[in-house]
Amino acid sequence: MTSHPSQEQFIDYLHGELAPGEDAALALHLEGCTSCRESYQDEVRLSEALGSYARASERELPPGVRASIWSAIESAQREPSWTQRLAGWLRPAVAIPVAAALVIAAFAGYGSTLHHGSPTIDAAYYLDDHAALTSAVPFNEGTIVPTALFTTENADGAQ
Amino acid sequence: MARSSALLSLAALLTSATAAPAPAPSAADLLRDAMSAPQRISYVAEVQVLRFGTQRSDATLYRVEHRAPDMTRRWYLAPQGLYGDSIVTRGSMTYSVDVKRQQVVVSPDEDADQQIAARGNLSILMANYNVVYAPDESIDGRGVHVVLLNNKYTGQTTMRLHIDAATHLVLERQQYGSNGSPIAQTLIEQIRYTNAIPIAVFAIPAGMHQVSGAARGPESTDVAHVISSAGFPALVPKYLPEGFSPIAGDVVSIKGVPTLHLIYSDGIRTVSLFQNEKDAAVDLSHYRAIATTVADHPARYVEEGPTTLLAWADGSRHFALVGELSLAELEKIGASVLP
Repeated sequence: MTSHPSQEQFIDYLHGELAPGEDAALALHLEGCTSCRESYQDEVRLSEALGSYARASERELPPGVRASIWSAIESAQREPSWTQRLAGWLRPAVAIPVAAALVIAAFAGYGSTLHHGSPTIDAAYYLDDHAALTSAVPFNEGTIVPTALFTTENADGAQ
Repeated sequence: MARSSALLSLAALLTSATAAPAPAPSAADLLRDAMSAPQRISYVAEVQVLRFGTQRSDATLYRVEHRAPDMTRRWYLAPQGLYGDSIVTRGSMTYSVDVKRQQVVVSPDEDADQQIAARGNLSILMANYNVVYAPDESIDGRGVHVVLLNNKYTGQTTMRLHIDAATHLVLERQQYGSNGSPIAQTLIEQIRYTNAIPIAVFAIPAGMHQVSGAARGPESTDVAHVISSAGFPALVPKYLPEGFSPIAGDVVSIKGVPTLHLIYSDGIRTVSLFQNEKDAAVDLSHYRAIATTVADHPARYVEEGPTTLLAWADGSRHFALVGELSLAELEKIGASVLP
């Protein structure tokens, strides 16, 4: 292997999807290329994180979810890839855990940071804003501790 | 003889008249005076704030030096994570001194502005609560007037104030939930009135990194105008507990999402309604959220001491209700917000 492997090759290598010769060449390249080894390790960590999330979120899926996962995969496979990067992600070896994780995350649901890609607003903001405004009411305490002092280690209330 | 007797009687009468305690002011006058007491009374004390939730409670303890009218330093003693941190208020600015991060966060003193609004909201309180004197008591040897604020609609005592008979400063405050259980208590202990607090006490520590704190948007009491300026068709509750009315609102951009905040109060209790229509959900991942429903819509709520946050969505519109009301009351308000 004379050039650096692509991200898609890393992903396929990680999931044992490469042809034997290509697999061996990439393994040999990784031995001697520090930057590719780091890129590969990034893929490993990402894959493990997705797997861990899927395992942690594991629960009995509602009827139809399994079918919707396969449907998502099949339709993804039918569509032509619009970038090589995306094509890499849609390979079955990757698409299955990714699609599963996304569907499970959507099922796990409301409050997830993966909510439709829209920003989420930390509940602390609403609680702080409400507390600050209670001082507009006679004899209320108002802000007892300003947010500015609530570092993570102080945030005992946040669990 | 008769003349000297008459003189003695007159003298005795005058003596007894001057020795009699001054009559307590009317409850309304006492409340008004108590609200403005910090603007004229300087003191040093220790303050204990307790907030009681349904499952857990939290406590905050701080030393306070207050120099009337508007300089205050709070020096936190507990919880442990805050020990040594302090808040210095100088006029219209607040400095949050974080000793662990060696930084000072500078921000406008929102509480000062709110206290002005609070004086206006006293009339709402008086409209919804009966102010009743309870027998006088004493705190640390000082005579205090005890005032109960009883809800006119439910008859329940919602707040109990212990007001220093001499200075009219509130020394103890207890607030009760809708079921009568205490939800918050503030106690000023070891108070010492003094006009000799050195100005240096309120100096901002040198050598710390200063950063600007996040400033909230200006609230407006013109709620109709706020609603019309939200940039989207806002929804308001069709049901509120008796005595509640809108008192303020604002529109702020949070992570680029225009968010409408409306505040309702009955003069003591408050509830905030937040809403956006950009599909920006409330992130409850740092809290122990519990599932519930708002008019058949899946919802979740979290409790922070006596404060409950209820979050739900209707399509791309997301709502959060925050207040010291019961969950059932919040759910009822939430259901009435939906179209």
